[in-house]
Amino acid sequence: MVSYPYFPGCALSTKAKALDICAREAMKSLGYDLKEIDDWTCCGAVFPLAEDEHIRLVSPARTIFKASKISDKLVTLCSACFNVLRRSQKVLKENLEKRQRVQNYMEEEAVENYPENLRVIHLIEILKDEIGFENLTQKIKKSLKGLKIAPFYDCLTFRPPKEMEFEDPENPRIYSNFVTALGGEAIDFSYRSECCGAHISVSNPEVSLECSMRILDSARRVGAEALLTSCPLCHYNLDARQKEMVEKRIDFKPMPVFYLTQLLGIALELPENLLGFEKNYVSPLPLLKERGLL
Amino acid sequence: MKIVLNREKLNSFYVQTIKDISLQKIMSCYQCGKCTAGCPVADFMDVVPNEMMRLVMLGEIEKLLSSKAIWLCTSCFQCGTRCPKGIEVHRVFEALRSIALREGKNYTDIEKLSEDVLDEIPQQGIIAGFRKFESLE
Repeated sequence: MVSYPYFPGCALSTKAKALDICAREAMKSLGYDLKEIDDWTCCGAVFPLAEDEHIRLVSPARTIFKASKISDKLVTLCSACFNVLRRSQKVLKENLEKRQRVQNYMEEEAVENYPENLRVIHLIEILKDEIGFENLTQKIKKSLKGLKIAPFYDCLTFRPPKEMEFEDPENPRIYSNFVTALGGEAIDFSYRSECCGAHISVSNPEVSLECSMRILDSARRVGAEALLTSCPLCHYNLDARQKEMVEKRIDFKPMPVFYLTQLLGIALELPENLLGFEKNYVSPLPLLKERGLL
Repeated sequence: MKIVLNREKLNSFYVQTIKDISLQKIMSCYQCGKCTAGCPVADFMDVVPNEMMRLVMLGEIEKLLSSKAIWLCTSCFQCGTRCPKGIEVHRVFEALRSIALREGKNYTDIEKLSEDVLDEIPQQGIIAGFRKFESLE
């Protein structure tokens, strides 16, 4: 069993539990122990874009220090945590002046050498680079054959590409390859990397509703039966807010939105109570039962 | 729109602050409009991203600080990703928001948010949304 420090983050500990529980259980059955970091604090949720905002880097720096005591990798899954921690690590590694300023705000951690070698990774990178999608196909117990899944590429995991150093956001393939590895049919659609409206659901919900509706319409037009995401906020906008979309447009047909780890959980035949479908607003159960996947 | 150019406006405190906290070469923008073409919320903005860049160049910062557009930006980083001149347009948006917030202008009215939204929306959304609500005084 390989053990990695794991940073679940606030959303995965509460409102996006389905993403978290499936991840731990699925990875366990693949031989990986995701060990939650002790006493972690919120990553800050938003990477500080203003050059003079140093204080917002303190919390990610603390997490990076903690993880570095256990391993040279830190596993994240929430797209916001991944974005904040990966970019923070890059800036703290490369910008020594900024690093010093941030360390000035810290206590015991700051006396140690900065863990430059720590790599912040997304859980899908374990599946892709360590296990390998081809091997994953061998390890799954149930193929998602015939399930037409449209992978949605959230902003925060892929952009800005120079800082995230993840995959080309203009032509991302990683989730499509993941769906294919699980035996499903990956459906490319033109809005696959458009923003869902993100946090403006707080201040201008009507605008983000429009953004999310475009994405779901675009996926449906090319024959998708369900969407895939790994971002809790995208999941909220694309799944929970379908309630409003149905009210707004008479011809709107709801579509289930899976978390990345829920699909992995189905393919690995995790018990249904660990898949967290009760948290999905649009229940995927009818679709899965129809296909004999549950 | 009539714009009067003068040296004071072009080198104002606001313009300098935007350059300092965004670290972007504003003057290298050649108005191709790719940022606006990729912006998911441009349809809803009163000043679209390439117009914003132009107004910063011309020193018309007050117009931007009172615009709705700076608050509609979702920070999806599409504009900066596609800019052929390598300008991180999203950082210019953030600089404008930062100036407004540091002057005590708020956008999100916490009291008007429904309990349902706060119960359901993940924390990352609430925190990002509340960064438009920095100062009470």
